[in-house]
Amino acid sequence: MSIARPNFQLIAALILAFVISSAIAYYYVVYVMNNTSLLFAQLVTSGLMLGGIYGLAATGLTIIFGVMKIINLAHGELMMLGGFISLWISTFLRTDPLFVLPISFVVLFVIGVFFQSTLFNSAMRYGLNPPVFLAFAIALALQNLMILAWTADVRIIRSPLIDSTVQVEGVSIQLARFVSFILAIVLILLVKAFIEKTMIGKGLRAISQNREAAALMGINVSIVNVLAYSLGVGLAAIAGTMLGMVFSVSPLDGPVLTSKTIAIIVLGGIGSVAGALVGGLILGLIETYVGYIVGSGFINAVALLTFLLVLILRPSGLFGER
Amino acid sequence: MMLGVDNVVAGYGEVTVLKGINLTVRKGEIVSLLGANGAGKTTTLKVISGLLQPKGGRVSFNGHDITTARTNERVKMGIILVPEGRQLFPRMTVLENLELGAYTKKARTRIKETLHRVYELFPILKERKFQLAGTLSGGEQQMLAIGRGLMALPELLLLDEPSLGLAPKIVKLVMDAIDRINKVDGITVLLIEQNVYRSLQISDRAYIIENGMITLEGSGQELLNEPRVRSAYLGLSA
Repeated sequence: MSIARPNFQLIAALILAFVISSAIAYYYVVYVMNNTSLLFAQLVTSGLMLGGIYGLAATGLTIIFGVMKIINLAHGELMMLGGFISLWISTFLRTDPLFVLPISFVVLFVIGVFFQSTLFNSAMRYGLNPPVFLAFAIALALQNLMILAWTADVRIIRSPLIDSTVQVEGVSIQLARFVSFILAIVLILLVKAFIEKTMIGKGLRAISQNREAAALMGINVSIVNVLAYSLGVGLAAIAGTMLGMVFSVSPLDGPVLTSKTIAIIVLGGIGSVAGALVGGLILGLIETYVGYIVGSGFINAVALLTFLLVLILRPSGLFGER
Repeated sequence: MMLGVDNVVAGYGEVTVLKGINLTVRKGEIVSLLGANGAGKTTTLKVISGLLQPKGGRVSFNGHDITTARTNERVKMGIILVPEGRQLFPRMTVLENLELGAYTKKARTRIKETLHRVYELFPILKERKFQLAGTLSGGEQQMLAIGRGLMALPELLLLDEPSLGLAPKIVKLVMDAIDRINKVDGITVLLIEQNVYRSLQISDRAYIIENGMITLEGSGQELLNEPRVRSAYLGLSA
Protein backbone atom coordinates (compact mmCIF):
# COMPACT_ATOMS: atom_id res chain seq x y z
CA MET A 1 0.00 0.00 0.00
CA SER A 2 2.23 2.71 -1.19
CA ILE A 3 2.87 5.16 -3.91
CA ALA A 4 4.48 2.67 -6.16
CA ARG A 5 6.00 2.22 -9.56
CA PRO A 6 3.45 1.14 -12.15
CA ASN A 7 2.48 -2.44 -11.63
CA PHE A 8 2.61 -3.70 -15.20
CA GLN A 9 0.54 -6.80 -14.51
CA LEU A 10 -2.18 -4.61 -13.12
CA ILE A 11 -2.02 -2.19 -16.05
CA ALA A 12 -2.28 -5.17 -18.43
CA ALA A 13 -5.32 -6.45 -16.52
CA LEU A 14 -6.94 -3.02 -16.75
CA ILE A 15 -6.30 -2.79 -20.47
CA LEU A 16 -7.90 -6.21 -20.77
CA ALA A 17 -10.91 -4.88 -18.85
CA PHE A 18 -11.07 -2.00 -21.33
CA VAL A 19 -10.99 -4.32 -24.34
CA ILE A 20 -13.55 -6.77 -22.95
CA SER A 21 -16.04 -4.14 -21.80
CA SER A 22 -15.70 -2.30 -25.11
CA ALA A 23 -16.21 -5.51 -27.09
CA ILE A 24 -19.40 -6.31 -25.18
CA ALA A 25 -20.64 -2.74 -25.53
CA TYR A 26 -19.82 -2.70 -29.24
CA TYR A 27 -21.77 -5.93 -29.77
CA TYR A 28 -24.79 -4.51 -27.96
CA VAL A 29 -24.78 -1.07 -29.48
CA VAL A 30 -24.17 -2.18 -33.07
CA TYR A 31 -25.80 -5.62 -33.37
CA VAL A 32 -28.53 -5.68 -30.73
CA MET A 33 -29.59 -2.02 -30.76
CA ASN A 34 -28.81 -1.65 -34.49
CA ASN A 35 -26.85 1.58 -34.23
CA THR A 36 -23.94 2.69 -36.38
CA SER A 37 -20.37 2.09 -35.26
CA LEU A 38 -20.01 5.88 -35.40
CA LEU A 39 -22.27 6.11 -32.37
CA PHE A 40 -20.08 3.60 -30.62
CA ALA A 41 -17.03 5.76 -31.36
CA GLN A 42 -18.98 8.65 -29.85
CA LEU A 43 -19.53 6.65 -26.65
CA VAL A 44 -15.84 5.73 -26.42
CA THR A 45 -14.67 9.34 -26.76
CA SER A 46 -17.20 10.66 -24.24
CA GLY A 47 -16.37 7.88 -21.80
CA LEU A 48 -12.61 8.34 -21.99
CA MET A 49 -12.92 12.10 -21.53
CA LEU A 50 -15.12 11.71 -18.47
CA GLY A 51 -12.66 9.10 -17.22
CA GLY A 52 -9.77 11.56 -17.35
CA ILE A 53 -11.59 13.80 -14.86
CA TYR A 54 -12.31 10.81 -12.62
CA GLY A 55 -8.64 9.85 -12.88
CA LEU A 56 -7.58 13.29 -11.67
CA ALA A 57 -9.88 13.13 -8.65
CA ALA A 58 -8.69 9.60 -7.87
CA THR A 59 -5.03 10.70 -8.14
CA GLY A 60 -5.68 13.08 -5.26
CA LEU A 61 -7.31 10.36 -3.19
CA THR A 62 -4.55 7.85 -3.90
CA ILE A 63 -1.80 10.27 -2.82
CA ILE A 64 -3.60 11.01 0.43
CA PHE A 65 -4.03 7.32 1.09
CA GLY A 66 -0.46 6.43 0.12
CA VAL A 67 1.06 8.89 2.58
CA MET A 68 -1.45 9.12 5.43
CA LYS A 69 -3.00 5.62 5.13
CA ILE A 70 -6.38 7.29 5.45
CA ILE A 71 -9.29 6.99 3.03
CA ASN A 72 -10.40 10.59 2.67
CA LEU A 73 -14.15 10.11 3.00
CA ALA A 74 -14.67 13.83 2.37
CA HIS A 75 -13.11 13.65 -1.10
CA GLY A 76 -16.38 13.99 -3.05
CA GLU A 77 -17.55 16.91 -0.90
CA LEU A 78 -14.21 18.65 -1.38
CA MET A 79 -14.56 18.15 -5.15
CA MET A 80 -17.96 19.81 -5.02
CA LEU A 81 -16.66 22.58 -2.78
CA GLY A 82 -13.93 23.20 -5.36
CA GLY A 83 -16.60 23.35 -8.07
CA PHE A 84 -18.76 25.81 -6.15
CA ILE A 85 -15.80 28.00 -5.29
CA SER A 86 -14.81 28.13 -8.98
CA LEU A 87 -18.39 28.99 -9.91
CA TRP A 88 -18.57 31.65 -7.24
CA ILE A 89 -15.24 33.27 -8.06
CA SER A 90 -15.84 33.22 -11.81
CA THR A 91 -19.24 34.87 -11.35
CA PHE A 92 -17.79 37.40 -8.95
CA LEU A 93 -14.78 38.25 -11.13
CA ARG A 94 -16.80 37.85 -14.36
CA THR A 95 -14.12 35.62 -15.86
CA ASP A 96 -14.22 32.27 -17.50
CA PRO A 97 -14.14 29.38 -14.97
CA LEU A 98 -11.22 27.94 -16.91
CA PHE A 99 -9.03 30.78 -15.62
CA VAL A 100 -10.33 30.29 -12.09
CA LEU A 101 -9.03 26.70 -11.88
CA PRO A 102 -5.66 27.69 -10.36
CA ILE A 103 -7.39 29.93 -7.78
CA SER A 104 -9.75 27.15 -6.83
CA PHE A 105 -6.76 24.80 -6.50
CA VAL A 106 -5.00 27.23 -4.18
CA VAL A 107 -8.11 27.88 -2.05
CA LEU A 108 -8.72 24.17 -1.52
CA PHE A 109 -4.99 23.58 -0.97
CA VAL A 110 -5.12 26.10 1.87
CA ILE A 111 -8.25 24.47 3.28
CA GLY A 112 -6.37 21.16 3.08
CA VAL A 113 -3.42 22.64 4.99
CA PHE A 114 -5.82 23.81 7.67
CA PHE A 115 -7.65 20.46 7.97
CA GLN A 116 -4.45 18.43 8.02
CA SER A 117 -2.34 20.53 10.34
CA THR A 118 -5.07 20.97 12.92
CA LEU A 119 -7.73 18.27 12.78
CA PHE A 120 -6.06 15.28 11.13
CA ASN A 121 -2.71 15.87 12.76
CA SER A 122 -4.16 15.40 16.22
CA ALA A 123 -6.55 12.61 15.20
CA MET A 124 -3.68 10.62 13.66
CA ARG A 125 -2.04 10.26 17.07
CA TYR A 126 -4.82 7.92 18.14
CA GLY A 127 -4.43 5.34 15.40
CA LEU A 128 -5.90 4.86 11.96
CA ASN A 129 -9.63 4.89 12.77
CA PRO A 130 -10.14 8.36 14.29
CA PRO A 131 -8.93 10.21 11.15
CA VAL A 132 -11.33 8.22 8.97
CA PHE A 133 -14.25 9.13 11.26
CA LEU A 134 -13.00 12.68 11.18
CA ALA A 135 -13.04 12.68 7.36
CA PHE A 136 -16.62 11.41 7.47
CA ALA A 137 -17.58 14.18 9.89
CA ILE A 138 -15.95 16.75 7.59
CA ALA A 139 -17.95 15.31 4.69
CA LEU A 140 -21.24 15.74 6.58
CA ALA A 141 -20.37 19.22 7.76
CA LEU A 142 -19.26 20.37 4.30
CA GLN A 143 -22.35 18.97 2.63
CA ASN A 144 -24.66 20.85 4.97
CA LEU A 145 -22.62 24.04 4.84
CA MET A 146 -22.72 23.93 1.03
CA ILE A 147 -26.49 23.46 1.07
CA LEU A 148 -26.73 26.51 3.37
CA ALA A 149 -24.47 28.57 1.18
CA TRP A 150 -25.61 27.56 -2.29
CA THR A 151 -28.85 25.56 -1.73
CA ALA A 152 -29.20 21.96 -2.89
CA ASP A 153 -29.80 22.96 -6.52
CA VAL A 154 -27.83 21.41 -9.31
CA ARG A 155 -25.58 23.99 -11.00
CA ILE A 156 -23.74 23.96 -14.27
CA ILE A 157 -20.44 25.79 -14.50
CA ARG A 158 -20.56 27.40 -17.92
CA SER A 159 -17.32 28.25 -19.58
CA PRO A 160 -18.11 30.49 -22.60
CA LEU A 161 -14.62 29.87 -23.95
CA ILE A 162 -15.13 26.17 -24.45
CA ASP A 163 -18.90 26.02 -24.63
CA SER A 164 -19.10 24.57 -28.12
CA THR A 165 -18.96 21.29 -29.96
CA VAL A 166 -16.61 20.27 -32.74
CA GLN A 167 -17.05 17.47 -35.27
CA VAL A 168 -14.15 15.12 -35.91
CA GLU A 169 -14.83 12.44 -38.55
CA GLY A 170 -18.52 12.54 -37.68
CA VAL A 171 -17.91 12.19 -33.94
CA SER A 172 -19.04 15.27 -32.08
CA ILE A 173 -16.80 16.34 -29.22
CA GLN A 174 -17.83 18.80 -26.52
CA LEU A 175 -14.94 21.22 -26.30
CA ALA A 176 -15.37 21.46 -22.50
CA ARG A 177 -14.84 17.71 -22.19
CA PHE A 178 -11.88 17.71 -24.50
CA VAL A 179 -10.08 20.58 -22.75
CA SER A 180 -10.80 19.09 -19.31
CA PHE A 181 -9.50 15.74 -20.45
CA ILE A 182 -6.24 17.11 -21.80
CA LEU A 183 -5.74 19.26 -18.71
CA ALA A 184 -6.46 16.31 -16.41
CA ILE A 185 -3.94 14.10 -18.20
CA VAL A 186 -1.29 16.82 -18.09
CA LEU A 187 -1.87 17.37 -14.37
CA ILE A 188 -1.70 13.64 -13.60
CA LEU A 189 1.59 13.36 -15.51
CA LEU A 190 2.93 16.40 -13.63
CA VAL A 191 2.02 14.83 -10.29
CA LYS A 192 3.67 11.59 -11.38
CA ALA A 193 6.84 13.42 -12.36
CA PHE A 194 6.75 15.33 -9.07
CA ILE A 195 6.64 12.24 -6.88
CA GLU A 196 9.19 10.37 -8.96
CA LYS A 197 11.78 13.02 -9.70
CA THR A 198 11.83 15.64 -6.97
CA MET A 199 13.38 15.11 -3.55
CA ILE A 200 10.14 15.99 -1.74
CA GLY A 201 8.30 13.59 -4.02
CA LYS A 202 10.77 10.87 -3.14
CA GLY A 203 10.20 11.70 0.52
CA LEU A 204 6.48 11.27 -0.10
CA ARG A 205 7.07 7.82 -1.59
CA ALA A 206 9.46 6.95 1.24
CA ILE A 207 6.81 7.74 3.85
CA SER A 208 4.26 5.67 1.96
CA GLN A 209 6.61 2.67 2.10
CA ASN A 210 8.00 2.99 5.61
CA ARG A 211 7.01 5.90 7.82
CA GLU A 212 9.56 5.30 10.59
CA ALA A 213 12.47 4.79 8.21
CA ALA A 214 11.45 7.96 6.38
CA ALA A 215 11.73 9.92 9.63
CA LEU A 216 15.19 8.42 10.12
CA MET A 217 16.25 9.88 6.75
CA GLY A 218 15.57 13.33 8.17
CA ILE A 219 12.27 13.73 6.34
CA ASN A 220 9.86 15.96 8.24
CA VAL A 221 6.94 13.55 8.26
CA SER A 222 4.34 16.04 9.50
CA ILE A 223 5.11 18.55 6.74
CA VAL A 224 4.93 15.86 4.06
CA ASN A 225 1.58 14.72 5.51
CA VAL A 226 0.26 18.26 5.13
CA LEU A 227 1.62 18.48 1.60
CA ALA A 228 0.07 15.17 0.54
CA TYR A 229 -3.35 16.00 1.95
CA SER A 230 -3.43 19.52 0.53
CA LEU A 231 -2.21 18.41 -2.88
CA GLY A 232 -4.84 15.68 -2.96
CA VAL A 233 -7.58 18.11 -1.98
CA GLY A 234 -6.37 20.71 -4.49
CA LEU A 235 -6.54 18.14 -7.29
CA ALA A 236 -10.06 17.24 -6.13
CA ALA A 237 -11.05 20.90 -6.50
CA ILE A 238 -9.87 21.00 -10.11
CA ALA A 239 -11.61 17.72 -10.92
CA GLY A 240 -14.79 19.01 -9.26
CA THR A 241 -14.75 22.18 -11.35
CA MET A 242 -14.23 20.13 -14.51
CA LEU A 243 -17.20 17.93 -13.60
CA GLY A 244 -19.25 21.10 -13.21
CA MET A 245 -18.22 22.22 -16.69
CA VAL A 246 -19.00 18.83 -18.24
CA PHE A 247 -22.07 17.91 -16.17
CA SER A 248 -23.00 19.76 -13.02
CA VAL A 249 -22.19 20.28 -9.37
CA SER A 250 -24.47 19.81 -6.39
CA PRO A 251 -23.80 19.59 -2.65
CA LEU A 252 -25.62 16.26 -2.72
CA ASP A 253 -23.26 14.66 -5.25
CA GLY A 254 -20.38 14.33 -2.76
CA PRO A 255 -21.01 10.83 -1.39
CA VAL A 256 -21.45 9.31 -4.86
CA LEU A 257 -18.20 10.89 -6.03
CA THR A 258 -16.40 9.68 -2.93
CA SER A 259 -17.49 6.11 -3.61
CA LYS A 260 -16.57 6.42 -7.28
CA THR A 261 -13.06 7.63 -6.53
CA ILE A 262 -12.59 4.90 -3.92
CA ALA A 263 -13.76 2.32 -6.47
CA ILE A 264 -11.25 3.72 -8.97
CA ILE A 265 -8.23 3.53 -6.70
CA VAL A 266 -9.17 0.02 -5.60
CA LEU A 267 -9.52 -0.91 -9.27
CA GLY A 268 -6.20 0.68 -10.22
CA GLY A 269 -4.24 -0.40 -7.16
CA ILE A 270 -4.16 1.83 -4.11
CA GLY A 271 -1.26 4.25 -4.08
CA SER A 272 -0.50 4.07 -7.79
CA VAL A 273 -0.94 7.28 -9.79
CA ALA A 274 -0.86 5.41 -13.10
CA GLY A 275 -3.45 3.03 -11.68
CA ALA A 276 -5.68 5.96 -10.71
CA LEU A 277 -5.58 7.28 -14.28
CA VAL A 278 -6.26 3.93 -15.95
CA GLY A 279 -8.91 3.05 -13.35
CA GLY A 280 -10.58 6.43 -13.96
CA LEU A 281 -10.62 5.92 -17.72
CA ILE A 282 -12.19 2.48 -17.34
CA LEU A 283 -14.87 3.68 -14.95
CA GLY A 284 -15.66 6.59 -17.29
CA LEU A 285 -16.05 4.19 -20.22
CA ILE A 286 -18.14 1.61 -18.43
CA GLU A 287 -20.41 4.30 -17.00
CA THR A 288 -20.96 5.73 -20.47
CA TYR A 289 -21.69 2.32 -21.98
CA VAL A 290 -24.12 1.44 -19.21
CA GLY A 291 -25.74 4.86 -19.37
CA TYR A 292 -26.48 4.38 -23.05
CA ILE A 293 -27.38 0.70 -23.10
CA VAL A 294 -29.19 0.25 -19.77
CA GLY A 295 -30.22 3.78 -18.91
CA SER A 296 -28.70 6.77 -17.21
CA GLY A 297 -30.36 5.88 -13.90
CA PHE A 298 -27.92 3.00 -13.53
CA ILE A 299 -24.75 5.06 -13.96
CA ASN A 300 -24.05 5.50 -10.28
CA ALA A 301 -24.56 1.80 -9.58
CA VAL A 302 -21.73 0.95 -11.97
CA ALA A 303 -18.95 2.20 -9.72
CA LEU A 304 -20.26 0.28 -6.76
CA LEU A 305 -20.74 -2.89 -8.80
CA THR A 306 -17.21 -2.56 -10.17
CA PHE A 307 -15.96 -2.07 -6.63
CA LEU A 308 -17.74 -5.24 -5.48
CA LEU A 309 -16.48 -7.24 -8.45
CA VAL A 310 -12.89 -6.20 -7.79
CA LEU A 311 -13.21 -7.12 -4.12
CA ILE A 312 -14.62 -10.53 -5.04
CA LEU A 313 -12.12 -11.29 -7.80
CA ARG A 314 -8.86 -9.82 -6.43
CA PRO A 315 -9.35 -8.65 -2.84
CA SER A 316 -5.80 -8.95 -1.52
CA GLY A 317 -4.13 -8.50 -4.89
CA LEU A 318 -5.40 -5.00 -5.36
CA PHE A 319 -5.02 -3.79 -1.80
CA GLY A 320 -1.57 -5.13 -1.10
CA GLU A 321 1.44 -5.47 -3.30
CA ARG A 322 2.96 -8.30 -1.31
CA MET B 1 31.52 14.04 25.40
CA MET B 2 29.54 13.73 22.20
CA LEU B 3 26.47 11.89 23.41
CA GLY B 4 25.15 11.85 26.94
CA VAL B 5 22.23 9.74 28.08
CA ASP B 6 21.31 10.81 31.57
CA ASN B 7 19.06 8.72 33.79
CA VAL B 8 16.64 7.99 30.95
CA VAL B 9 13.38 6.25 31.74
CA ALA B 10 11.34 5.08 28.77
CA GLY B 11 8.85 2.47 27.64
CA TYR B 12 5.77 1.69 25.61
CA GLY B 13 2.40 2.57 27.13
CA GLU B 14 2.25 1.19 30.66
CA VAL B 15 5.38 -0.91 30.24
CA THR B 16 8.63 0.66 31.40
CA VAL B 17 11.61 -0.77 29.56
CA LEU B 18 14.43 1.58 30.55
CA LYS B 19 14.66 2.21 34.27
CA GLY B 20 17.26 4.93 34.40
CA ILE B 21 19.98 4.45 31.78
CA ASN B 22 23.25 6.38 31.93
CA LEU B 23 25.78 6.20 29.15
CA THR B 24 28.18 8.44 27.28
CA VAL B 25 29.88 8.26 23.92
CA ARG B 26 32.99 10.33 23.17
CA LYS B 27 33.96 11.57 19.75
CA GLY B 28 35.76 8.97 17.65
CA GLU B 29 34.84 5.97 19.76
CA ILE B 30 33.11 2.71 18.95
CA VAL B 31 30.92 1.89 21.91
CA SER B 32 28.97 -1.36 22.18
CA LEU B 33 25.71 -1.88 24.00
CA LEU B 34 25.35 -5.53 24.92
CA GLY B 35 22.57 -7.44 26.60
CA ALA B 36 19.96 -10.15 26.30
CA ASN B 37 16.79 -9.84 24.22
CA GLY B 38 14.34 -7.49 25.87
CA ALA B 39 16.98 -5.81 28.03
CA GLY B 40 16.31 -2.44 26.41
CA LYS B 41 19.04 -2.03 23.78
CA THR B 42 16.77 -1.12 20.87
CA THR B 43 14.66 1.11 23.11
CA THR B 44 17.81 3.02 24.09
CA LEU B 45 18.65 3.67 20.43
CA LYS B 46 15.04 4.70 19.74
CA VAL B 47 15.27 7.30 22.50
CA ILE B 48 18.61 8.59 21.19
CA SER B 49 17.30 8.87 17.61
CA GLY B 50 14.05 10.53 18.71
CA LEU B 51 11.67 7.80 17.58
CA LEU B 52 10.58 7.38 21.20
CA GLN B 53 10.04 10.16 23.73
CA PRO B 54 11.51 9.26 27.15
CA LYS B 55 9.30 9.55 30.24
CA GLY B 56 12.20 10.94 32.22
CA GLY B 57 15.84 11.84 32.00
CA ARG B 58 17.87 13.80 29.53
CA VAL B 59 19.66 13.21 26.22
CA SER B 60 22.38 15.60 25.10
CA PHE B 61 24.43 15.81 21.94
CA ASN B 62 27.54 17.97 21.53
CA GLY B 63 26.44 20.00 24.53
CA HIS B 64 22.87 20.61 23.36
CA ASP B 65 19.88 19.20 25.20
CA ILE B 66 18.02 17.20 22.54
CA THR B 67 15.56 15.35 24.79
CA THR B 68 12.53 16.78 23.02
CA ALA B 69 14.03 17.33 19.55
CA ARG B 70 12.27 15.58 16.68
CA THR B 71 13.88 12.81 14.67
CA ASN B 72 14.40 14.95 11.57
CA GLU B 73 16.12 17.64 13.66
CA ARG B 74 18.47 15.05 15.16
CA VAL B 75 19.27 13.74 11.67
CA LYS B 76 20.30 17.29 10.73
CA MET B 77 22.62 17.36 13.76
CA GLY B 78 24.23 14.13 12.57
CA ILE B 79 22.61 11.42 14.69
CA ILE B 80 21.76 8.62 12.28
CA LEU B 81 20.12 5.33 13.23
CA VAL B 82 20.46 2.24 11.06
CA PRO B 83 17.45 0.43 12.50
CA GLU B 84 16.97 -3.19 13.38
CA GLY B 85 15.60 -5.20 10.47
CA ARG B 86 17.11 -2.68 7.98
CA GLN B 87 13.81 -0.88 7.24
CA LEU B 88 14.67 -0.19 3.62
CA PHE B 89 12.23 1.23 1.08
CA PRO B 90 11.52 -2.08 -0.65
CA ARG B 91 9.92 -0.74 -3.82
CA MET B 92 12.64 1.75 -4.56
CA THR B 93 15.96 1.01 -6.23
CA VAL B 94 19.24 0.73 -4.34
CA LEU B 95 20.25 4.12 -5.72
CA GLU B 96 16.97 5.77 -4.68
CA ASN B 97 17.39 4.35 -1.16
CA LEU B 98 20.88 5.83 -0.99
CA GLU B 99 19.67 9.18 -2.34
CA LEU B 100 17.00 9.31 0.34
CA GLY B 101 19.73 8.72 2.90
CA ALA B 102 21.15 12.07 1.78
CA TYR B 103 17.83 13.88 2.25
CA THR B 104 19.15 16.71 4.42
CA LYS B 105 20.44 19.82 2.67
CA LYS B 106 23.97 19.40 3.95
CA ALA B 107 24.16 15.78 2.85
CA ARG B 108 22.64 16.57 -0.55
CA THR B 109 25.43 18.95 -1.49
CA ARG B 110 28.02 16.20 -1.04
CA ILE B 111 25.97 13.34 -2.42
CA LYS B 112 28.44 12.42 -5.20
CA GLU B 113 31.49 11.94 -3.03
CA THR B 114 29.56 10.13 -0.28
CA LEU B 115 28.04 7.83 -2.87
CA HIS B 116 31.52 7.10 -4.18
CA ARG B 117 32.69 6.25 -0.65
CA VAL B 118 29.69 3.95 -0.01
CA TYR B 119 30.33 2.09 -3.27
CA GLU B 120 33.96 1.75 -2.22
CA LEU B 121 32.94 0.16 1.10
CA PHE B 122 30.28 -2.07 -0.47
CA PRO B 123 31.04 -2.56 -4.18
CA ILE B 124 28.06 -4.92 -4.57
CA LEU B 125 25.72 -1.94 -4.10
CA LYS B 126 27.15 -0.30 -7.21
CA GLU B 127 26.46 -3.43 -9.24
CA ARG B 128 22.91 -3.57 -7.91
CA LYS B 129 22.12 0.14 -8.03
CA PHE B 130 19.11 -0.15 -10.34
CA GLN B 131 17.67 -3.19 -8.56
CA LEU B 132 14.69 -2.82 -6.19
CA ALA B 133 15.85 -2.94 -2.58
CA GLY B 134 13.21 -5.53 -1.73
CA THR B 135 14.84 -8.03 -4.07
CA LEU B 136 18.31 -7.93 -2.47
CA SER B 137 19.70 -10.74 -0.32
CA GLY B 138 19.81 -10.26 3.45
CA GLY B 139 23.48 -9.36 3.46
CA GLU B 140 23.10 -6.89 0.60
CA GLN B 141 20.12 -5.31 2.35
CA GLN B 142 22.20 -4.81 5.48
CA MET B 143 25.00 -3.21 3.45
CA LEU B 144 22.43 -0.95 1.83
CA ALA B 145 21.00 -0.01 5.23
CA ILE B 146 24.45 0.96 6.51
CA GLY B 147 25.26 2.70 3.23
CA ARG B 148 22.02 4.66 3.41
CA GLY B 149 22.94 5.70 6.96
CA LEU B 150 26.37 6.89 5.77
CA MET B 151 24.78 8.98 3.01
CA ALA B 152 23.42 11.29 5.72
CA LEU B 153 27.02 12.21 6.72
CA PRO B 154 26.60 11.02 10.31
CA GLU B 155 28.64 12.28 13.20
CA LEU B 156 27.22 9.55 15.39
CA LEU B 157 26.09 6.34 13.73
CA LEU B 158 23.73 4.15 15.74
CA LEU B 159 23.74 0.56 14.50
CA ASP B 160 21.05 -1.83 15.72
CA GLU B 161 22.04 -5.48 15.24
CA PRO B 162 23.75 -5.07 11.87
CA SER B 163 24.81 -8.74 11.68
CA LEU B 164 21.48 -10.29 12.68
CA GLY B 165 20.63 -13.26 10.51
CA LEU B 166 23.61 -12.95 8.19
CA ALA B 167 25.98 -15.70 7.01
CA PRO B 168 29.35 -15.76 8.89
CA LYS B 169 31.26 -14.53 5.85
CA ILE B 170 28.94 -11.53 5.46
CA VAL B 171 29.08 -10.85 9.22
CA LYS B 172 32.85 -10.48 8.92
CA LEU B 173 32.47 -8.15 5.94
CA VAL B 174 29.94 -5.97 7.77
CA MET B 175 31.93 -5.83 11.01
CA ASP B 176 35.11 -4.95 9.11
CA ALA B 177 33.23 -2.18 7.32
CA ILE B 178 32.03 -0.77 10.65
CA ASP B 179 35.60 -0.78 11.91
CA ARG B 180 36.75 1.07 8.78
CA ILE B 181 33.90 3.58 8.94
CA ASN B 182 35.18 4.45 12.41
CA LYS B 183 38.93 4.36 11.83
CA VAL B 184 39.10 5.80 8.29
CA ASP B 185 36.08 8.10 8.11
CA GLY B 186 36.23 9.13 11.75
CA ILE B 187 32.56 8.43 12.40
CA THR B 188 31.62 7.74 16.01
CA VAL B 189 29.67 4.50 16.39
CA LEU B 190 27.24 3.21 19.00
CA LEU B 191 26.69 -0.47 18.26
CA ILE B 192 24.21 -3.10 19.37
CA GLU B 193 25.41 -6.56 18.47
CA GLN B 194 24.52 -10.20 19.05
CA ASN B 195 28.04 -11.07 18.00
CA VAL B 196 29.48 -10.10 21.38
CA TYR B 197 33.00 -11.39 20.86
CA ARG B 198 33.63 -9.59 17.58
CA SER B 199 31.98 -6.37 18.70
CA LEU B 200 34.04 -6.24 21.91
CA GLN B 201 37.15 -6.71 19.78
CA ILE B 202 36.45 -3.62 17.68
CA SER B 203 34.97 -1.53 20.52
CA ASP B 204 36.78 1.06 22.58
CA ARG B 205 34.26 0.69 25.36
CA ALA B 206 31.12 -1.29 26.07
CA TYR B 207 28.09 -1.27 28.33
CA ILE B 208 26.16 -4.30 29.51
CA ILE B 209 22.45 -3.63 29.89
CA GLU B 210 20.22 -5.92 31.95
CA ASN B 211 16.54 -5.36 32.68
CA GLY B 212 16.65 -1.74 31.62
CA MET B 213 19.72 -0.79 33.67
CA ILE B 214 23.42 -0.56 32.91
CA THR B 215 25.08 -3.20 35.06
CA LEU B 216 28.62 -3.21 33.74
CA GLU B 217 30.85 -0.84 31.87
CA GLY B 218 34.43 -1.04 30.67
CA SER B 219 36.83 -1.11 27.78
CA GLY B 220 36.34 -3.80 25.15
CA GLN B 221 39.36 -5.70 26.38
CA GLU B 222 38.32 -5.48 30.04
CA LEU B 223 34.92 -6.91 29.30
CA LEU B 224 36.40 -9.68 27.16
CA ASN B 225 38.30 -10.79 30.28
CA GLU B 226 35.46 -10.18 32.73
CA PRO B 227 34.23 -13.54 34.12
CA ARG B 228 30.55 -12.58 34.10
CA VAL B 229 30.68 -11.51 30.48
CA ARG B 230 32.65 -14.60 29.49
CA SER B 231 30.13 -17.00 30.98
CA ALA B 232 26.86 -15.14 30.29
CA TYR B 233 27.50 -13.65 26.84
CA LEU B 234 30.44 -15.46 25.32
CA GLY B 235 29.69 -18.98 26.56
CA LEU B 236 33.33 -19.37 27.59
CA SER B 237 34.68 -20.62 30.89
CA ALA B 238 35.06 -17.83 33.41
